[in-house]
Amino acid sequence: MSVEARGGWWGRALRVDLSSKEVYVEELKLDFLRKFVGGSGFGVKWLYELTKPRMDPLSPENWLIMAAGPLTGSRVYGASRITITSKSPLTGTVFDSTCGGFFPLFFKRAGFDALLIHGSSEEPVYIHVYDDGADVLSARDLWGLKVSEVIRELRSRHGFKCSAIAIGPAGENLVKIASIMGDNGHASGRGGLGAVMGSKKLKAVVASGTKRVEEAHPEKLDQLLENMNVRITWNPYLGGALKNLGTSALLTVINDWGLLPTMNFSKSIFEGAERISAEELNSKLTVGRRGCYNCPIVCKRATRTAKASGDGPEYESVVNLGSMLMVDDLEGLAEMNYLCNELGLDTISMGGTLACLLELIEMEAVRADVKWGEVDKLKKLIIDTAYRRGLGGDLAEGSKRLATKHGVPEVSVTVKGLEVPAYDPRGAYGMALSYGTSYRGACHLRSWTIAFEVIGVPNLVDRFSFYEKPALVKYTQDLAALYDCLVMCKHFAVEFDEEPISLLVNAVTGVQFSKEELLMVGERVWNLARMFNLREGFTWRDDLLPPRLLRPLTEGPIAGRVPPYHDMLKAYYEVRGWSDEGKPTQETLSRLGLSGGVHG
Amino acid sequence: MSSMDRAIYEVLKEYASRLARRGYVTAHGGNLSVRSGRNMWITRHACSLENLKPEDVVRVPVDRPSSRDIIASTETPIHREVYLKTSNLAILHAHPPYSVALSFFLDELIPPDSEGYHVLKRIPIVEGRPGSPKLAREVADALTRHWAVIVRGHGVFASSKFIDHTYQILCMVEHSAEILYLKRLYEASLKVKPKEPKEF
Repeated sequence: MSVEARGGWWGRALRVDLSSKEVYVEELKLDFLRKFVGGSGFGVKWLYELTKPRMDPLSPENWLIMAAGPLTGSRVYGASRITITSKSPLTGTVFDSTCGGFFPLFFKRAGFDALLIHGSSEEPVYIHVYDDGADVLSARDLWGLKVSEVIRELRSRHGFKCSAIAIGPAGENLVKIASIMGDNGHASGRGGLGAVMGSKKLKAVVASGTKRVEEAHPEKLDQLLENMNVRITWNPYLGGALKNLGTSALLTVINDWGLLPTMNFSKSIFEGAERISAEELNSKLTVGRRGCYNCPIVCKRATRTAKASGDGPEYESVVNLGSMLMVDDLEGLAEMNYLCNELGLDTISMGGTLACLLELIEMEAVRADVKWGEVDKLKKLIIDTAYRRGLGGDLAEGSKRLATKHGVPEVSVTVKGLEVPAYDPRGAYGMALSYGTSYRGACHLRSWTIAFEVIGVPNLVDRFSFYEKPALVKYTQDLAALYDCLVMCKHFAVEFDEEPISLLVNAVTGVQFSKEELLMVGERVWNLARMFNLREGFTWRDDLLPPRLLRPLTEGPIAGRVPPYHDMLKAYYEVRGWSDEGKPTQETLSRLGLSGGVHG
Repeated sequence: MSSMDRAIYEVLKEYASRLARRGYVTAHGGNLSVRSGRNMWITRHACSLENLKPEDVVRVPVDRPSSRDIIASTETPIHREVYLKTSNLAILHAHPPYSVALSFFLDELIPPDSEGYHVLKRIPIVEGRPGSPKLAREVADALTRHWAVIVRGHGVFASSKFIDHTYQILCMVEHSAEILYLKRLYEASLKVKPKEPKEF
């Protein structure tokens, strides 16, 4: 290892040129590791440096960067994740998306911190990463297969002790809402990164590493993990609802409080919520529990309907394929989710785009025979989207392009072209700012203020207050960015802030980070991502919310409520150390070690 | 909000406010619930009893965990266990200072005052981590035999059929604890033996 660290990192990255099929190994220096840590830090930094502005995301010039973090593969709970970063064909922004499961473990055990993929192959290929090396292999016989088929086939070829991430037909057909799927329904779901893989003719990456990830201070880590386990057990969210009922445990409370996106955000309460609740899912469809490597929570659910079986649906999928489409048939909803998983589609964007279509049909801007809640017809549209058949060709472009094509762009509920997730921001003002200012578009994972505004962990904050939200959103964004560098599951952020995290990182790596230094890593990555987007031509106007989310609802618990968004945005820029136009000031860049452009 | 939800919120708000005014809870401490049928209405996690809002009261089933537990008090499992093991319909939990202070020195509180003694007889003191299944069992077991129980270093759980009666019990526990504390303080500082009442 070229670094002075004694654990966590390998200090090596793989570069694969799919055009020439060449594989390189490069060493990573300690100052680079310390400044960008891993995961999104590596991804955003390299993408900024390696790409030219306005590059076509589906061209060979785009990069696909898979990066683990120093905690990946260690014994730290919630750290079996990997970040995939690229320029998104859906949003045009820098786009990082994390994936859990077992792939991150087997990848990290191969002895690499990251895999950088460039160019494009003429024939379908997949990459096999093994101890200290990688091969580019033919995937001609895998092209066209669904996700579970590919993963099963790769396991039969490379042994049971391996894991893979793959695209389905949607990624192959360059669908802009195509996801990259891992094992057991884990996904790097958003932003159309599956289409980036498809454009490179890259069907899958399989990893079968066997090397043990070193820990600098294993005895110290033993103590920290014991404490971590206790805190997980006692946390009412982690050790309670999430463990007992899975992610969809949120649904009933979100509906009670009038925050549930319903019928393309035209309502925020769904009458059928109880029928698609976590209680129903657990009692009627669940056949087992699944989780990532070394996770004590095990939040995922294996499910079975009368006709099919699969994984999930998770909370976001329940909402976007359920209340957003007025579907209260849980079996039908689960089957729509299975389809998305198998075809490799992002359930949030698929649901948001279908909701947009249904509204366009209702207002007679589009002619098609499908209405709210018609599960079988919606299922057919999901399949058509993956194969770009008929109306599916328009759906494959995402809701913004769909609505714009038909002359009513306001029907698309998106920020920076990314469909808004499953919390109505009119009922939790922090989420309004979270959605607006996320560098990858409307995203709940870049600042999940719901923890504060609804659940009350670690603290309860008035959901309709706004003066404190800019600072809260900035802090939670920086913390989330740090989590994506490490790479850790963000559920854990409700209990473990930068202080306990710094102890874990220090015990694993042997490098002494202060909690402030680690939080600043998150802030650095956030600002670098902002600089990428500014270079692409994004402006403060792209931080605005869609008009629908700034119009008050007339009924329900949040009737009449609208966040004072422009005031909040202005205050947020100030808190961030950005100009009134949303540009990081020279002083801010300098403070973060990003002065002289961003090449610091 | 249904009329039932509204009525229960008003009741809980009133008693939450009383507990706060008496200094039995601090900032975001304490919790209370009432039961009706198969449901209980309990204060939410991290709310302030000083100023309970409608969204601070959560309805959850008595017989099983539910998705609404996600925002309910972290001590919901204790309330649930008590309702499952007793026919009580109200539970108040607070952190009154004299009861908590004395719990560090005693294994049970025998009220020294006549009213406390007649009504409460004795208040057991148990141990356990807030919200844990073990503590839930211990508190519930104690409340099958007593009106109230003290969790060492933590607080008092009181329970009965009616919320006003439950409030009366909780106040009585703290009053007895205060009297016992003062009595022992006086006894120790003046080194005199107290004159115990011949009969209560």
